[in-house]
Amino acid sequence: MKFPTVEWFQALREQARQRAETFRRLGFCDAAVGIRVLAEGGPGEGRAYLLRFDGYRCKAVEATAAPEKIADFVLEGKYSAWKEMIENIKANGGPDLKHSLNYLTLPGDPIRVVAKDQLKQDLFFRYNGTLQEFFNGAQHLETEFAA
Amino acid sequence: MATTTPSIYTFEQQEYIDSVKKGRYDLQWLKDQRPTWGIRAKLKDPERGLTLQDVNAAYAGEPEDAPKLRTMAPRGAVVDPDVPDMGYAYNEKYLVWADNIVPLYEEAVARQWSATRDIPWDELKPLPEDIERSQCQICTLLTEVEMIASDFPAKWLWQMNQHFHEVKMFLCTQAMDEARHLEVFRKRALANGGGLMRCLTGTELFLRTILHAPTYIQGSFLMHVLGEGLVLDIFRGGEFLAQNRIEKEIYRLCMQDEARHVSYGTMHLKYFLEHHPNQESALAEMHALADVAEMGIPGFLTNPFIIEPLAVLMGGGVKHIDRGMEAVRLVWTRMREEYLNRCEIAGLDRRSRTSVPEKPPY
Repeated sequence: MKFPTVEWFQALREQARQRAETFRRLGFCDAAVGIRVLAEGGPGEGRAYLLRFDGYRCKAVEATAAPEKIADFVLEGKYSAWKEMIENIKANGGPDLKHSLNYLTLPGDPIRVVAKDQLKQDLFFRYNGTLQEFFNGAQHLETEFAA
Repeated sequence: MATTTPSIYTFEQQEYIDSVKKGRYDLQWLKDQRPTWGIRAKLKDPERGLTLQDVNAAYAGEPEDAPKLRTMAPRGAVVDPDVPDMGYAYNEKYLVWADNIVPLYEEAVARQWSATRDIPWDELKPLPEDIERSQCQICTLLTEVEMIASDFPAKWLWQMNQHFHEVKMFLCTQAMDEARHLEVFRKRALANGGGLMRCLTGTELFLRTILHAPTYIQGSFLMHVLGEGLVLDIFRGGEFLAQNRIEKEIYRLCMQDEARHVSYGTMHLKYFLEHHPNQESALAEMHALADVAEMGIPGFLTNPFIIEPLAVLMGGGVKHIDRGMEAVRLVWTRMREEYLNRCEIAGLDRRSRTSVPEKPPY
């Protein structure tokens, strides 16, 4: 499964579906979450996706050129940062202390949270456990990276 | 001498009892008005269950701006004409409401957790003394400050008209959240050999200001927007404070709860300012409060009992306290920026007025 592709995020969504009880216990998550994977060359390149969380589930995954137009917030980072995070989740059965979404985004580097306003950004804090659990599903995927 | 025992029943009650004994029932309630009869609230999302939004949507259940009654009678019910006045002081919507209150309540209920069950306590291992002392100093502080956000809503809850039941219900979830925060930080302090440490006069003074705020909006601003906004950044920074999975889970779960409270506070301030009958004076009042309240922020972020343990944890030991101060600087900058952003959303533009320095002084 290649990263980043819609298929990869759909596989992640399927992983979440298989662990529905875990997500039920985590509670509602109502947010449109953008993911932007920047090419190493810098902003303006790369790929972007939209994950629509509704209730206990991620209900849709789609590719989009401009997730910031729809998403409540966008998690934006270089390809290498995403790759390292996914590899870390795979290697440890979940992120170690330095590879959780919150850890990686707190200083705004290597991944940053981009939102139209503070309340939208606060959704990232409100739903953090659900989002982390969603990405933890990567431990079950065989992810192929371009390099 | 024969004595007559006074009956516990009134004349009307006795009359009713006698009728029931004869098999005659009143049944007036079957002929009463039924303003919401036939309403069948539909589940928008069966997986989620029946939400307050579903119920409100089913019978136009939005609260009135200024309900006439001061009772505990539910919105939409038929009420006896001679019901007593409960003595509520908060009878106008703008004094308590926030437009996100209903989904926030549902979210709060759905995202509850247990400090006993959901933290992997069995993984806790001994830590170096400087790290353990730092964690315990921060846990002592958080054990101390978190319960204010239970006490404060509890103080005002009974004064809010029950017509605004969603606000009261949300504040009940907040009180439970904060009880759990006290619990989890007290447990952490006492679970790994470090124990409870020092409580500070400055902290107590700030908590006292919140608890004794003369109005709900003033206390809500101090607590939901300013205080919890600041603590939210500490919880978020918990990613750097955590030395293990236990602490990481604690800070993450508390962060989720705290962000809901801040969200209510921000949107309540917005509603208050937008719907106040004298918007100009309301704005002036809130600016005057913020002018004073912001003076307390440096007291928090220049206190060695607070920032030095933070720096030790963030740096990974007292030897690396300088490195940890980098992260403390980040918390200062982020806290200020997010606070100003939230004020701006609420319609209280503090950017040109705030006295909190943009850059930390160390």
